[in-house]
Amino acid sequence: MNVITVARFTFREALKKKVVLAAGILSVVFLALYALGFHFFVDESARTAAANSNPATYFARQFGVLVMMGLYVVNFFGGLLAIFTAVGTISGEIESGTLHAVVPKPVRRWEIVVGKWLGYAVMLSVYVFGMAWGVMGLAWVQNGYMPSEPLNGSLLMVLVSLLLLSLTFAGSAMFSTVTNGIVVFMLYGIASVGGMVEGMGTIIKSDLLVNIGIITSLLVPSDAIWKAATYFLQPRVFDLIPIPTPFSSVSPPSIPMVVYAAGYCAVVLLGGIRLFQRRDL
Amino acid sequence: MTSRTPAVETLNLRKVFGGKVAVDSLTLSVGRGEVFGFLGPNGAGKTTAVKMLTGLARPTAGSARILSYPVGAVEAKREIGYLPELFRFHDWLEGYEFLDFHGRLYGMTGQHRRRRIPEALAMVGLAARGKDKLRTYSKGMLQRIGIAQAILNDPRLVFLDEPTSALDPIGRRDVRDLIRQLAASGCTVFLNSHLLGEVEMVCDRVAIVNRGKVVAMGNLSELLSSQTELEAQVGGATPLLLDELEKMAATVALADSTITMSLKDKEMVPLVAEAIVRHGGKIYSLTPRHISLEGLFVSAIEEGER
Repeated sequence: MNVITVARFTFREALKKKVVLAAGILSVVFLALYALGFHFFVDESARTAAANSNPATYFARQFGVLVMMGLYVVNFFGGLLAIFTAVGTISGEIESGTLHAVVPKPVRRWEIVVGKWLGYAVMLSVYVFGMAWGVMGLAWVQNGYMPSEPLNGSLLMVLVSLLLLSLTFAGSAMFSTVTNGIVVFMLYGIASVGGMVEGMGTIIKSDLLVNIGIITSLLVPSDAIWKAATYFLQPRVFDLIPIPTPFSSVSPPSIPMVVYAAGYCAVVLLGGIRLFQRRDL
Repeated sequence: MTSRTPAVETLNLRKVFGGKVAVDSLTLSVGRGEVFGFLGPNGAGKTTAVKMLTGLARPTAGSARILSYPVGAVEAKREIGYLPELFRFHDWLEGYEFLDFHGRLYGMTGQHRRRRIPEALAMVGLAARGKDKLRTYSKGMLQRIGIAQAILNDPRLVFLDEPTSALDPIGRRDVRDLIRQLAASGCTVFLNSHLLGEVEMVCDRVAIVNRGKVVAMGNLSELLSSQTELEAQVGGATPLLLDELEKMAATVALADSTITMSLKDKEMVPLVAEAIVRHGGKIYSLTPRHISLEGLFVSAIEEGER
């Protein structure tokens, strides 16, 4: 019951934050620009496709790239929102003193952390899921294109933001707000670079680079899960091009990696709870 | 009014932050229904002690029980209220919403909250401001709403950490009345303050802490009558005389020809007179009087420093 009380409170609080308001407005602007760009792209493609030997494949590839770029931006926004809305969720409240009136209430500390996590998780899930389907929906409305497995793909995109949310929570129990923001954002960046390194290793067949990418994925599996999502979201014609890019994947998602990422969320959150339980306020 | 088990009981409670001892071997007992004053200079460890008792900080050593439950137990938290010293709240909430959130945390039903929240707002003089955002409240109003959240659950024990620090004289009087009202209803009040006048007016018992240790504790009226403040008009006071008086009194202060000292016992007054005469001093007047809480406080702190 306390978990639900704290979750509802956190959800309401998150919606009041200026960062969420700004992100919401900018996201609407992004969707509007994306719709406009897609519209002109469809017109242009109709002219150039006539000269192509296989117009169907051509369309799928062109629209697929455009949708994947849109989803890449949504995934990035989701990650940023996870980090910057929750960055001070524990440390900030300790620094400001607002937790001092809450913790002495008949509520266990783990209930506070889990409740807060749930509040942010609901907000992020709605945002990422809504934005992903917004991008895919705009493509579908304009020319009937829809990724191969949109539900699986968008759910994995939600997992990426939840994973970063858990990491941010653990950091917030350990570091000050500013330090936590820097650390988690850098880890997010390292994960993205690790994914690129792994992709390059695949292209040039370097086990060393691939292993560096795998180790990075184990440290922060956000990019690995995004890559898993891209496999479901990219047009199947991409499967014929064995070149990994930030917007595509050359192999089906590894189920153990998805399970690992879900477990990672839980373990990191538990770590955050443990740290918060031991912390003097 | 007072049941057998104390409302607050600590045994050698200790808190160390990175090698610095904030609370050292704190042992005290607060009876049920008492208004207990917890006094000490800045940095004495008062707030840290209260934080340990309310579950905000973990003791390094020792033990404490709140209403017979181990400190930090949810059962105890259900029965207590707490106003933090630095009262900062979620200012995007309206006053009513703020209390509703805290009422939910206490596990109060919707019906109970709807009845109790207007009562609590009225008790702290904010009945007309419940629909206003906390960010529009003055510092004094924030302290009042903080007191409202501390008493929302009809607590059996309430910790008030400097509850009048932001209030004007009228507000202070209101809080004193509220404390008396709580005590009359059987609630134990643990008042953490360095405003001695406030404490003197409402507390039954006090503990004075310095450097994390209790240096004096007991019934307020007994403590005040246990020491005598002596004012002596003396001519020809020498350093040797002052040295001897310092051995006899907890505190000795010389201003012009007036020596003020606090004595453990009124029977020491003739000994003081004898010492002054022996050192060649001339006594123009000797005025013994009961010590004030301020005098007791200074005396206890200075004696503890020796």
